[in-house]
Amino acid sequence: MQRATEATIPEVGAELRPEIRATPSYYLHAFLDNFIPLAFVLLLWEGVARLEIIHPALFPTVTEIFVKMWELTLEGIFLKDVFHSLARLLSSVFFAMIVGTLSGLLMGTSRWVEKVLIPPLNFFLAIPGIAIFPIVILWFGLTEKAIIFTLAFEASLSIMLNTWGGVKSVDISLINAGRALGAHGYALFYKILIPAALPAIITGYRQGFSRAWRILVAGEMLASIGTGIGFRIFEARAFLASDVMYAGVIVIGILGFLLERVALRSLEIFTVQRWGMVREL
Amino acid sequence: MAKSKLIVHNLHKVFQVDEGFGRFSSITAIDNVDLEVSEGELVTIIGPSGCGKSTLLMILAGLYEKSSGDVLLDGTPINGPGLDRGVVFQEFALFPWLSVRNNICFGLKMKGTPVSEHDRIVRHFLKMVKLEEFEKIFPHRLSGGMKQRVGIARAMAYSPELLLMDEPFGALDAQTRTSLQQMLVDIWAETKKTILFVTHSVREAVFLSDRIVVLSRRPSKVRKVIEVRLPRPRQRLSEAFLRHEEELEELIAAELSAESETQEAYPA
Repeated sequence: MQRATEATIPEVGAELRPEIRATPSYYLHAFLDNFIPLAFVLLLWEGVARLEIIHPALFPTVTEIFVKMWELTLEGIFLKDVFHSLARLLSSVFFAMIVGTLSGLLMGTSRWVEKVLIPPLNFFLAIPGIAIFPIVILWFGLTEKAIIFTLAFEASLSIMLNTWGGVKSVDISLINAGRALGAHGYALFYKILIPAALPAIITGYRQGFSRAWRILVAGEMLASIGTGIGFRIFEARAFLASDVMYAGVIVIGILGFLLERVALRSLEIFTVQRWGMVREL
Repeated sequence: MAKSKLIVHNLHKVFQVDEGFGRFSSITAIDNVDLEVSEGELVTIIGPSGCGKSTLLMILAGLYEKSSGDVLLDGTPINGPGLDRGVVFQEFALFPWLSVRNNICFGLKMKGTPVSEHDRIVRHFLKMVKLEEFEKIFPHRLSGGMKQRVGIARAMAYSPELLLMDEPFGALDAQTRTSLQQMLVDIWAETKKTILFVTHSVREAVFLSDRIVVLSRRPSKVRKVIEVRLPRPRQRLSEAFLRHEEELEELIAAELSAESETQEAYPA
């Protein structure tokens, strides 16, 4: 490819970087890049805990925590908790993606919709989802619905805000090019505005996921719903089972990390980064 | 004279300018412009910067609304953007999420050209702009000159009647610019497209055009129309070429000095 370029193109600066190849060593490197800093933190923890400066019941070693995690996994409790928490998260964020993306797109394209939606958007953005949780419980009772509603409320606002901003900052020359090439109405929407705003929309999904994930754990603690990682941690507090509490916290971290690095980051790599719309570092 | 492709008659454009704090003022960008372009002609529009030449082109593209006047393409009034015109933008405006191939196919898809034809058409136009190997590449990997060549291929792929080019080589370095001017002349000679080309470079205008329309400072009127009867391929350093350049430079310089006089007459 490079030689053909030199032969036929008289210009300089046509830099052609090789495509990222999904080879085993690529995945190994990606894994190590993420794993090494984490391993360092865990080693430090183990060392400090073994010194027993802090009472072991309050600050157990990493080994103890991971053993407990393994036991809970074998008993099937952890998998069930993880499954329930993820199901709540995914169903609510999925709902929020639809509502948030659509309303954000409309806000970014219609002056009328924008005028009507800006005040409520700013008002509700100021309210932490967990603040409305007690009210939501009054409506739905201590149910899944209450948690999912609160999460969707929280996530959809972030997604809406980012989508709106993204659509508004789409380069006018891209819109003009689309119109000159015969796109109007609906086609202009999905062929130009959505892909052009995608970097901002993905940022919105990121924020939506992370905000919903935080609220989820708090919600499960408040709602005592019987399953979920948040519930497990809160229940363990009653028995001073600090290893369970730590295990729960670590699992929350790992799941949040995986959601970001595996799901959202991959989405980014395969779309906006491949298109050069965000910089590759 | 060949039959008229494009007729612009009495064109006016007034912009509403938001001065902030709820105050608006209006600025006349284009004042009474008349223009005629014949079938197969290559016409450039030149004028001092900020004179409204790009605005004029955007109105012809249907991307801006005109305030009054008539624009006729093949005798039919222009109403908004359409696939009977191809537009090449100064800032390239390629879609970064589409490969070179799909950028070129965009107009074909909107026009409803049968998919079985796409391959042939894409190959043909990529060959024309000498980018055959770059079909599957995304635009961000291309240099500026290559991007604009894709821009030209994209605007011509669905065979529009009229090609509108808004300072297409303005953002490129001098060397690339010269090579793309030559490429455009070759493409024009081969396809016999009608081309309307906006530029601020007198050399570019003399090199490319059959006729050069010189606009006045804002609000723009047609100051003069110059026929360039030099034989092609044109020699940039020939005496006749330089004489045309000089004449244009003088016309534009006169417009610019007139502008500074007006500014002195109305101090801010």
